[in-house]
Amino acid sequence: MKELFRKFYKLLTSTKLTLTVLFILIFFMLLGTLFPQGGAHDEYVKAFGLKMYLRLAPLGVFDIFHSWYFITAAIVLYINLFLCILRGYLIERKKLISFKGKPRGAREITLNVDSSHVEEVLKERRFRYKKVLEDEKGFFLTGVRGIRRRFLSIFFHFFLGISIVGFLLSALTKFDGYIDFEIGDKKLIPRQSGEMGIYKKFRTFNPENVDKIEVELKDYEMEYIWFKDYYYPKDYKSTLIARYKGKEKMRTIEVNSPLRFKGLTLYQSGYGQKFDIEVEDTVVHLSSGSIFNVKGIEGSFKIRTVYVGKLFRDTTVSEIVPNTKIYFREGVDKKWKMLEKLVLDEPIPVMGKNMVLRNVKEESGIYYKRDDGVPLLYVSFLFFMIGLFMRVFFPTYEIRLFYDKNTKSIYVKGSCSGIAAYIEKEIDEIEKMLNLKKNKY
Amino acid sequence: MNIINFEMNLFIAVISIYFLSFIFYIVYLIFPRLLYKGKVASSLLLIGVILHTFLIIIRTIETKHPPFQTLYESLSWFSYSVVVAYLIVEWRRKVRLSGIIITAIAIAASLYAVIGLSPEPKPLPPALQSKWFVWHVVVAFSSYAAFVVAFSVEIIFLLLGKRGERYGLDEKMKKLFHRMAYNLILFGFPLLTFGIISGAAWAQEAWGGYWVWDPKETWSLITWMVYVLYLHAKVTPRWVEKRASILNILGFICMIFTFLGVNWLTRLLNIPSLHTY
Repeated sequence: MKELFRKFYKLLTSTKLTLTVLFILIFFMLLGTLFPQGGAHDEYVKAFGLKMYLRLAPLGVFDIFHSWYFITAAIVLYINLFLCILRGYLIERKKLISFKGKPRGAREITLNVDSSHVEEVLKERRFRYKKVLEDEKGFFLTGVRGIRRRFLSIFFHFFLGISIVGFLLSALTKFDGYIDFEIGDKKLIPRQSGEMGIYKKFRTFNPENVDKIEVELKDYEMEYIWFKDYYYPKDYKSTLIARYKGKEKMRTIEVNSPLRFKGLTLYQSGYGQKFDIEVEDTVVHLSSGSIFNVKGIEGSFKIRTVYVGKLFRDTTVSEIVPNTKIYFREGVDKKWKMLEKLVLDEPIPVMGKNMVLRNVKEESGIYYKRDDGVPLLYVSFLFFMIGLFMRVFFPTYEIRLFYDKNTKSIYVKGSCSGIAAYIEKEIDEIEKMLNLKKNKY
Repeated sequence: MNIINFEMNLFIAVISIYFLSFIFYIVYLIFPRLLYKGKVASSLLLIGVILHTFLIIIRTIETKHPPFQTLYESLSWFSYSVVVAYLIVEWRRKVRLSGIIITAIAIAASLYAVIGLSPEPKPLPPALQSKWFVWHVVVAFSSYAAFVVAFSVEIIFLLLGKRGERYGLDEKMKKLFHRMAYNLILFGFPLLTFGIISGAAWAQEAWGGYWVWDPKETWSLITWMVYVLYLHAKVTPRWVEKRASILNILGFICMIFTFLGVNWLTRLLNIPSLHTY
């Protein structure tokens, strides 16, 4: 039983297991990019045919990253990572107390030098050394310059492990939503949701206990650049006021600059417009992207975006007179054709009928999200990167040296890490300096 | 002559110089002692880089932002970073054998930009107006450059085999070649890691989701994992030599696929992606 356990532990702490699981994960990920993920059933049936879809769906290929086999492989890798960190730490401790005799495969330096010179040279080479063993035959010492390699390795692997805890926390706490605001709108955004993994897992969600923050859209501004006879979005910003239990925070948000308040983050996500189209005596209430029909005309009309806001053209900035383009198609299988440009309050004849664009109101699309795993992820990745950069860019030398008192010979062996580190050169330097010492005295 | 035409002409001049350098690197491979032992090829490459720097400065002034937005600009930046990284390595190590592969890759990337893509600059969309734009791209491309040079070193080492002595490569130098490839990947790896993490942090700031398993994200993680495999293989007996070399080459293929292939894949399979350009 003990032997079986030992073998199992050895397997779980082996680099071979790391390599194998990484290969498996790579394979799954590759599949995940070949099959569209998380789509609707109808889309898959359309793309693959019903027969093929029914064969593939049970294998989980349409949601690989949440499939049991992907998660199992990731868990095995995590256990492997955790045990390797632990093993690394134990080996390191053991190594420090168990050195005996000449290091195997060490370079022999026979210079007939005094033992004090050896220590002097190591000091001059900025090694921190420790005599592990000393008797009448000689002494054995270990020296380190820089930060111990294994320590750095344990350090950044540890924070990589912590980041996985961050992902787990994300999975348990995140939920999101989308709200459209018109200027002056006040809306409530929940701080908890039944969509949070923690509530789903333990079924403890009570909608009556949900805290809410109030969000008001104070101002909204859309900016365009005139580029190749086209309104190209330059920026869109919303000034929001968030309130919760007497506390208030105001901020102008834009893409890449969200508002964080009471665990929620509010993102500038989209923009849109609400407007009316007057067709002779009828008024149609629409929003950007809507399709509508007009009595007496076979086919559908569509209005994509109504351009409102500021226009940057060369060195000038001007207010846009609200305008849009109207599209038409005869049937569902036909392509949209651009018909006319509509300008606010100006009657324009379209297919024999006068159409007028009226009452344009801008809308700001706000995406909100709660994700308590993010701070932990940021911290763990920061330390992971620090450890990794130090491991790679800071040279570290570790030597093991045996001094033979009878022959006055030295046996040196070492290892190094970091791209600028060369252990052979370092041992050359030690030899050279010992030579100098010998000649001096 | 408008600025775009001027840029195009300059870019073609850069490609021509890279091509000349490529020819001289071939000559060096065939006749290692001729033409100052390959120094002519290196000098030409240096001239090409100087002109390419000028081209990038012009583009930056013209677009008012660093030229990484369109695929045309990214390819130009890619070939520039690769050549610069190689010249640094060549200057440090005095080994110019992989110059032939580097120039071939730089020419291929530049030609793809010039022939296949529009050089017309576009205004920067709101999502790209971020402090991460420069950091993410520069760091990620620096890692790409290191990986390309590592790949070229590995390939040349494999192709030359025992013929290395013709180029003054003794057993010690061959070890150095292995070490060079390893060091380059070691150099590129934290940069790639930072590139991925900064990309995730940027996505979090812009869209509210640090990771959505977008094909570009997934492939960048695949590339990262292949290099993790390589670095772990280097400390695993029996994996140190040949298998590690294969992983280096595989890493390069994944990296190119992350950079270019994902765009084709998403279009081919009609997979939605936030990163297609």
